[in-house]
Amino acid sequence: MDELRVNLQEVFRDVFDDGEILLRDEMTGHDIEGWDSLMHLNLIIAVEKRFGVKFATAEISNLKNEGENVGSMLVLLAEKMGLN
Amino acid sequence: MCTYLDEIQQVARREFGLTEGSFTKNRTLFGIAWEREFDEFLRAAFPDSSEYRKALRGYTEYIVDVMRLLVDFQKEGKYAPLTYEEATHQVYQNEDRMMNEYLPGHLISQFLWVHHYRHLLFFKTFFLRDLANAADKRFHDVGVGTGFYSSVILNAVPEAAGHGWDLSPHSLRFTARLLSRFGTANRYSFHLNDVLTTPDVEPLPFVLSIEVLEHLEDPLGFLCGLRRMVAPGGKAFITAALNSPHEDHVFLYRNELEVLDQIRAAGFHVENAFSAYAYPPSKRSPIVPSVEAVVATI
Repeated sequence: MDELRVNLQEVFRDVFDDGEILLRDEMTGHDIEGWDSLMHLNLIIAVEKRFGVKFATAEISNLKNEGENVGSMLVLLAEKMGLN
Repeated sequence: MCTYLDEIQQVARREFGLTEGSFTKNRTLFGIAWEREFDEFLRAAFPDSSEYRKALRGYTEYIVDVMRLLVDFQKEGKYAPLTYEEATHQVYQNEDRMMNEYLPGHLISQFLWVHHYRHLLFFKTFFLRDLANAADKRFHDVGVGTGFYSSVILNAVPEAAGHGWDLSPHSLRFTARLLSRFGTANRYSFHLNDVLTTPDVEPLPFVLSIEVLEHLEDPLGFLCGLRRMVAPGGKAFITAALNSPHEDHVFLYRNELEVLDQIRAAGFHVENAFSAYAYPPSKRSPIVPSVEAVVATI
């Protein structure tokens, strides 16, 4: 999971053009400047490309639901990659 | 107090997270006027939670599809090859898809997507006002889609009467339901016909066609037909989506001038035009979907 987190962090840094982002599980859209719906979609598309996975529309949207965070994304990503 | 809007935004926040940002953003951008208008619209158009959930789900599908297709579009510079016939089969004649996702999603986008709402404001100022002040307030809406713009006219102008044309029976049924919910369906006629091949269509003083052109293989031919539906001295409101890859978009407009040139080539005089973009361009997404709206006379 640690390696996954580091790789995901690289995607975040690239998409948000901010090399200082340090991912923590509890982070949400409120913690990263510019993480709106549009950037969320850009982020997911970049994650799909980087990790060779595909998210369903509902999964993409649910990750922006109240209560979801970076930890939720990591769990879902690990599931998709068969790491759980 | 916009309690219904507040309720739906809460549901968006909890269950359709991708859509919630549009609520917050548009409250800030357009203020209380948008909130009141949207609240009133939601109460009539989506009168229960099952209805507004369909709309939020459809809107979510819509924006995810567009963004996925945009990634390829930014690289390829063209839409995926598609004929009108294929789009018809995939979308327009698919009842479940149209009634439960595509049309509800498009309908709510009229308030949630910034450029759609900006067009509505333009429409009210430069077209609806003239229609309201005209002696003859009859209109054709060609390619009614959700029926939204017809409903705006009929709601705002009690003496107005319209004719809605579409090739999709589901679009017409959806429009009929929408107008019934606003109590205006008795001032509207529904036509499941192609305007280009229907004989003796009476020209009327007002004609609108909202985001139809990009769905067609020959938009110029369609515009020539549209011109014949405008009575002498009449006015048309025509819009087209630009740089907007979508599962049923066939004709690619790359800039506003291409739309204006085509409208002029069909014999219209361009009286006014307005461009609105979905969001600002960025390094990652330099090409941004937009919509061009044109008020034209003959």
